[in-house]
Amino acid sequence: MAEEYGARGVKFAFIYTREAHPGEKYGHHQSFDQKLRNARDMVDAHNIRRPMLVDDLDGKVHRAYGSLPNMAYIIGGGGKIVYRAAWTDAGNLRLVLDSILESRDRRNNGEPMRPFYVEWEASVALDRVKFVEMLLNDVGPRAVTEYIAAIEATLGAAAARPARKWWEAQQSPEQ
Amino acid sequence: MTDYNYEHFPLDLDMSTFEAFPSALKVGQRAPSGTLVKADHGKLIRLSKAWRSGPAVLEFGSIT
Repeated sequence: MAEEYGARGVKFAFIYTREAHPGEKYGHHQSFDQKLRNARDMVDAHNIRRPMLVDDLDGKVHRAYGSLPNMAYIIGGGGKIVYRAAWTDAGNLRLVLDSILESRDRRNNGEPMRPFYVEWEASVALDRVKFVEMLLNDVGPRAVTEYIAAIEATLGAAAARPARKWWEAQQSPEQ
Repeated sequence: MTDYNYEHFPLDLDMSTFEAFPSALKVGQRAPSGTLVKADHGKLIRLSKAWRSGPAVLEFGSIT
């Protein structure tokens, strides 16, 4: 996606933040060097080819943009925010980028265009079992138990049940 | 107030930050810049460089 839209003049950057779910393998950041090492591990593990930018230890840039773990923004060429999303969704980004680039091209061709404001609530697939499985593989059991506890505390036991059941099955003897 | 680099995932963090997100910044406002370290060479760069010549997509995240 970065390559496709990069050819049309769009720049991409990934901003590395605090660890959202610290655990045994990747704990909370205690120094900038450790944060930089984790960011480099992430580039390798996820084959990230966009420029990887590491925020300072206190998360100054991350906090200025709203502190969420997986936000996406599009900034216009003049430096104004044109899109902000609480979750990064590639399909959603494509729709918006296509619209932005089409408007830019039509404006450049001399067609009068005027901006209009949009708010939108979109949805993504929710699979907490898949998510805790990822946490177990990538960071370790502590991140799993803390995440399940947080879901139980904020959304209730029913919301956490599939993940809780999966986790209990992981811990029971094999046969 | 939770530590930015919390050691343990806070029980209520998800809810409060997601609820505050819509009012944190607005479309149309100037994008905050800042100084970050580029992971490959370890040097400082200004975030605003990303949108100097055209639109820029910023994604935020961590390993987890």
